[in-house]
Amino acid sequence: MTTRAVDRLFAGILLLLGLYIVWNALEYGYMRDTTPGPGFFPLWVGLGLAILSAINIIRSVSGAERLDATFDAASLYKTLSIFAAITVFILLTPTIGMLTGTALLIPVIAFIIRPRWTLTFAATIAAIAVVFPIACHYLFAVYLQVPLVEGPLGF
Amino acid sequence: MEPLLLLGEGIVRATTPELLLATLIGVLVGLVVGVLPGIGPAAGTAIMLPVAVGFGGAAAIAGLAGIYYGAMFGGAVTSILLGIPGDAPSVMTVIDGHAMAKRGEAGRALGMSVYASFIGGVIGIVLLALLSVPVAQAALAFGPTEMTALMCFALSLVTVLGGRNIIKGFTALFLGMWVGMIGLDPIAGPTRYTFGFVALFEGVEFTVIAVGLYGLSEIFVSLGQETKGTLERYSFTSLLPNLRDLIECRAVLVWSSLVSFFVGVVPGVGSTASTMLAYATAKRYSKNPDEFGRGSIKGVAAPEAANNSASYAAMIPLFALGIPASGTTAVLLGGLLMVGLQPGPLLFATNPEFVWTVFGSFWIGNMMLVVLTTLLIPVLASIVFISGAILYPIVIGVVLLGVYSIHYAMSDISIALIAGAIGFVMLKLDYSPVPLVLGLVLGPLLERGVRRTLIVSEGSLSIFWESPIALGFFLLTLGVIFIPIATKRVAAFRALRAIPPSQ
Repeated sequence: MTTRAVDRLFAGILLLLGLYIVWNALEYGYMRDTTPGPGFFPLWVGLGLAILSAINIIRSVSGAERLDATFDAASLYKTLSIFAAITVFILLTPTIGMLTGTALLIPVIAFIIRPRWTLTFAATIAAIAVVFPIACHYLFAVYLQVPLVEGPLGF
Repeated sequence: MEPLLLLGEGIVRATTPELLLATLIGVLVGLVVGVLPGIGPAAGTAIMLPVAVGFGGAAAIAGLAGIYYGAMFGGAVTSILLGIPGDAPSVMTVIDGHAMAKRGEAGRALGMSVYASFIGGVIGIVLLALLSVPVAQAALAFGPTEMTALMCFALSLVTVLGGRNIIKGFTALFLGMWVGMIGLDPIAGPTRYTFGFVALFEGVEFTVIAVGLYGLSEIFVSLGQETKGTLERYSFTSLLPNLRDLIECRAVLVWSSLVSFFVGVVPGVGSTASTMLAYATAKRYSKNPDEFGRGSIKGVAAPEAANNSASYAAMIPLFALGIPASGTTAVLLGGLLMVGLQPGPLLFATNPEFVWTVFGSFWIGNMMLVVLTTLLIPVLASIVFISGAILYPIVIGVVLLGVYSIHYAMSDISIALIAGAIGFVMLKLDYSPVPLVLGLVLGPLLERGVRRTLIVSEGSLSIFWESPIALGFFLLTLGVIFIPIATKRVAAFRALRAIPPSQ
């Protein structure tokens, strides 16, 4: 999918969102007697979003929109992989605990960004995976008194 | 002179161990943020926001603001030594700073960048102290109608000036305002756009979105970018103050600081545009304008004094009017709200001690930065070469734990992740995330202002143009939105007419 196609798709989603906001705003009530109701502000915001998104689609279709950035396969793969890794972290944290989860997440993200490891790099990542959760324990759990999610080992 | 006395008292209060530590951490993080090309001051403050708020009160804001102005110092290091601007406001420093470094004067350029930043900071802080109270007092005369009009004006300025694509800027603004509406209606009570999720009843937390949009999305965009280049050499003694350079640049230092401060006060202009203007002014009035671009010491002094001065100028609309002038100050506004303070004209009357302590911490931070930048230049220059595979896992770890620490909710991490993914797509498609964040912060305030005003007028819109001040702001808003569009149309029409008919 080209960047221009993504641009149109994104503008299309925002156009639909704008219409959804307007639809709901009318249900909430535009005015209550002489005063503005809960739907007053959303109606104008939804209209604005829909109109501007429609303009963005027209500009993209007519070629008036120039985009410099591209969705290259390599960076997209890395972004999606990190997104998936963080999602797994969110799902596993209640079971394994937040600090253990972070210790596992660090080498995974490092591997996604740089798949080829040297011995020095592996040692550096291993050290970070150990030291970082300990530092976070002292900063968040001890100093800021944040009740971090604990796993079966108590951290 | 009362403001300067109050600033002096604030400086004394800012020397408590807690505030000194918060300021030190802030400026150190700011220096690192400044040298890293992938992460800007807005992302830096957003990533550290949940952690900083844990310090509480003035310490939280001192730490966060430290990241902002610390980044202005740090940005010059890579600009001069590598020819790569660490952040946008240091882009003009590359031109003459790197040219000086290449001819063996890296130390002289670095030294000037540090002292110019310090002088710009001093002038900026003094002007901030002198002008913020009169601005706040003038704004006290504003009722809900005038504040609503002012907010519209500020939002339009930031959206038009903040990004390259005006239409997409406003699209992002409306999207942000909608996200700000999710949850309980602030006046009438029913829930809106919650999709049945109880977690959304209290609305979407600004910080969670800001961290995702600024922090995670910038990391996603920066993936795969490795910094390459050769560091220019310098000696430590060459970093020490060079009296001859300072005397030669004295007028440039003062003028650049003043110009960028008064331009930087305007919402949306920001440090980068102020820096460019200061550089252009310095070149315009120089006796030897041809030296600029070839390694002129004044070409380093002007932008470095300017970006620091402008960073303090942006604090005036934030503290005195409650309106963020940029993406970074929007995050600071979020920080102020999280520590239980509503920035705006009343803040100076209700919490003067807090305001002046924070301003005092700016002074302390500015002095810390002179010493820290000089000592840490070798470290800062090497940080830029740290692989993203080492740096980003750590930053993502801080983001995840920081976001969780706001409400102790794993669902916040999911929201930040989604915001990061949306921010990544937006950045790629030329939608600036700044208007979205501003819409999220100011949208609910704007809605309350509009609806309260209309409740007073019993639904009559004429109340908005019966106030001359409000009418003035609305006319300015229309001008800000439509003049650039009309100018572009006229330019396109002229270009079309200039083409010979045979083509």
